[in-house]
Amino acid sequence: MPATWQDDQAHIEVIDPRAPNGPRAKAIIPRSIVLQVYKTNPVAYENLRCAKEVLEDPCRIFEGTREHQSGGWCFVGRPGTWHIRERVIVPFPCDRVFAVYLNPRMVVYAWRAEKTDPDDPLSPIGFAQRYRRLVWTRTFSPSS
Amino acid sequence: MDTHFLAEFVTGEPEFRQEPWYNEYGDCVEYLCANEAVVADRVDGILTLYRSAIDDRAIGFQLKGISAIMDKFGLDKAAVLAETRRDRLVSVMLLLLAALKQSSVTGTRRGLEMYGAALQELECAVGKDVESPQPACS
Repeated sequence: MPATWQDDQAHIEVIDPRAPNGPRAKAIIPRSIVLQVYKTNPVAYENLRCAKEVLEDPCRIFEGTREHQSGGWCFVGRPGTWHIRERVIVPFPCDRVFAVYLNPRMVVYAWRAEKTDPDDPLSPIGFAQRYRRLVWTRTFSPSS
Repeated sequence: MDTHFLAEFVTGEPEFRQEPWYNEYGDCVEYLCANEAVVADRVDGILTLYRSAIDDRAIGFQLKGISAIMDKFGLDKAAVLAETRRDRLVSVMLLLLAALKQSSVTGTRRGLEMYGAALQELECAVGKDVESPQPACS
């Protein structure tokens, strides 16, 4: 699904982590963040493609990403490929997950790979201690 | 390769710059010294070390809860966001030391090693910034 733009923000339709069974919500990517990574960290800019893929098709959604802050979400998934260097695209490793962090206002502020947890290979390592709760999980896996 | 879905947002050529920046949306400082994909290695609620997805070496970090650290230690936000690059690095070093002081992993060897790795990354960057002495004019 294409992203839409409004007021210097890109919007991506996602499962609403506040009401996963309700209407979809909008995750926001501010232009200022896009420009920042484009001008300092091109690989992270390219891997915004992975962030979009995970936001649109997550395996897990966690709530409560900060110890002293309410809200905040982590969308977790496995993109097909990712950039490991500029112009170097490889399959995303099977022993990693890609995590996308949103603040309480649904603004995307971080995206990166994480090691997987031994108890759930579709969650970041230590998920039980790191996040307040699991709010959504994919109930089936696409046939491979 | 497909056109990037955010291509309309950017102009010019992309470039890599080895400098820390304050991410207001996440209230965190990000620092990376290599233009490579990262795998997060979480140390505690404050520090996450970034390891290279290529060879696992430490290449940067994310420092979270910056406002709280500054409030607690009375640090000046303006200093962290200073214009000159070396001032920035030094200020981030100060933030890292403040974070270490309130970290829950200070008493563990792994925790100290991880904070040490983050400080070392910054130290390298400060070293690279020091200009070579100019030859005296004759």
